[in-house]
Amino acid sequence: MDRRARVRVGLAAVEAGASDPAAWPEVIARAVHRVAADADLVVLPAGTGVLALGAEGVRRWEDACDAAAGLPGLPAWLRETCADLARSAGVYLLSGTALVPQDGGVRHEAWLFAPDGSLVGTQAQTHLTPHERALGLIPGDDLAVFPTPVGDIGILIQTDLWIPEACRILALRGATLLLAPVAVPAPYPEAHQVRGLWQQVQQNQIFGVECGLSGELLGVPYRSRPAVCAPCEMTEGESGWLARGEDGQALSAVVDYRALQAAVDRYDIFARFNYRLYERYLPAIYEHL
Amino acid sequence: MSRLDRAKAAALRAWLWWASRPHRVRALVRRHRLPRAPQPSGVRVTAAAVQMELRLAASAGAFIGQVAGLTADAIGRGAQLVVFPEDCGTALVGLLPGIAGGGPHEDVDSAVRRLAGPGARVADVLAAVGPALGRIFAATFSEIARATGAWVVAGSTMLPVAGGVGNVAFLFGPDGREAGRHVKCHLIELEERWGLRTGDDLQVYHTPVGRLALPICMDATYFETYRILALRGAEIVCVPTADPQPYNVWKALRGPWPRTQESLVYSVHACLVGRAFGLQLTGRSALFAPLELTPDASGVMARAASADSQEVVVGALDLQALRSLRAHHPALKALRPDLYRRVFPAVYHQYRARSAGGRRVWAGSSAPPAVGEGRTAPDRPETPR
Repeated sequence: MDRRARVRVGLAAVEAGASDPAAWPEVIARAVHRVAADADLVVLPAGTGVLALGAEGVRRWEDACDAAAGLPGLPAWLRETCADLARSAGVYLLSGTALVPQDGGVRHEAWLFAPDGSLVGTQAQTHLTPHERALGLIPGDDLAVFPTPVGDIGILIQTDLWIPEACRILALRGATLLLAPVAVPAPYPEAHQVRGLWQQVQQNQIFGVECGLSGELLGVPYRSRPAVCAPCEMTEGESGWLARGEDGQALSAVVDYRALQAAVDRYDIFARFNYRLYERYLPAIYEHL
Repeated sequence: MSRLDRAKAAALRAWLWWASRPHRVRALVRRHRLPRAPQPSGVRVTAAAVQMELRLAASAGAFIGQVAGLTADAIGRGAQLVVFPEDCGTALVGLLPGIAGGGPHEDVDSAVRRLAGPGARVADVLAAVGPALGRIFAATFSEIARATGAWVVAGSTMLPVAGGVGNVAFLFGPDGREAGRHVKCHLIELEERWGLRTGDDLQVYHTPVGRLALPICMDATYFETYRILALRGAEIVCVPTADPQPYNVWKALRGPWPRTQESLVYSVHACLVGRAFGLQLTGRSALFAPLELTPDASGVMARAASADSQEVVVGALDLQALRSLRAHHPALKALRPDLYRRVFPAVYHQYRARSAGGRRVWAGSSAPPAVGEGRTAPDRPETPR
């Protein structure tokens, strides 16, 4: 596989509730094309598939999973829509997320498409809060890394972004680019983002992209903090932020894998793992939960 | 080393051993009038992070005077738990004759080679003089704890440990006894060059001021450290730190603050500051809490005003509030022991096996085969549905 050394990532801005629910395909298409012109990879926020549920008359999160279970054809339709978008824009595309009926429940999934519209892979949210479980979600089984020319991509959906184990597993499996489609209820303080995307990127020395939903969806107001993070040493002012935007803004940034390799060559956090320590305590320590 | 040099080294060790007699050190501590710490209440603890300037000590008394002054400040403001920085025991290296003779810009490797001969490493010197310096260090903090009735994390110092020399932190109780110790588990590059050894254990100490842990500096770069400690019951993680680089607020944020948020504990972060052996040590000592327990949702309860001056940071930690938060926090409830049982520790071993001597290599055509091109099967993308 011919890997690109520099990749431009576009973060699409999607504002829920701003348009007629039935117009969700146009809303998503406009959001993608707005950032796709010079991008290699476009990321949509979490909740894109839930916009489609809004068009089916769903008004509350409490009803979303039941509604999704009653619309088994919707995921295929969403996938076709996103595949067409990836093809027409000529980009790798992370679909945002959808509620997908599975045996015994509903999974919160994202799909990654190649520029030819083919499906590169699927990732389901693996860590669920009690609230998310109460809505009817069931967790994904594993965390996958998808090798592509635009990066070895790991996907962290919603709560996964705040769980260090999730990002560590992806980084150990070789992820170089973390894509995080999220929908975070307002007000979303900055410190909450720092304890999510920013610090996951720092402790794993990879790139991270957070694309969040804005607007109101199923009665909940969301705030986006679009951001692209890199190890501090690679960024202006050693801040760890390659690019940051305001609520509702689209964003674009270049990730440079050779620069990342150089940063890790200068100081490699993983080279100082204490394997004896981890072997002694992991995973037995989780029995204490 | 010539016969004369060996004789000189033996004489120095003998003198240091004599000068480090614990009863002498304790007597020097008792010359200082130290206040008594308030009795612990069990649910609310006042903690102090001591930001200490590294000053090479010309005598044990000089070191004791600096430690006693900072302790008096902390206890005077109500501290029941006092945490000193990493490597604060390095000040005692000043007792070695000629150690500062190379001037303020001489690096420690050069100073060691000048004193101990070509090829000598820091660990070699500390293997010889560490026991004596460690006696002064331990007796100082033991007596400080006994005199004040506080729980004292004595920062750390470099000492002989099993298999070599380690960076060791101590906990002393109000009776002056050693209540715990920790050997740093993740070294920085500089310490590797010095020849230090890592520890490979993490303990939690149950005390009247909470369940304490004392990982050191770089240990807090790794989520594993805090997760293990928190799940073993730690509530207050004391992190002695010595960061040898110019201060940057973002880079400084990569240690205890995010670990505090992930594992939902308090952190008492005590930084060594100043210049010695050509190193600039910086940091803003602080007390950190989960965002949910700080009124401004910053996760910072108190922080030093400067990154390069001596200062004591004091704050109250509500253990009951922490226990309540941990009992209900959605991120803790979301953890997946079933997933981790399948993945850990194999995922570390798989990484180690395919990395280039433990080093990560990805970029460009020199990258090793990526996942999906022959690495681990579980990493393969799921089948498209």
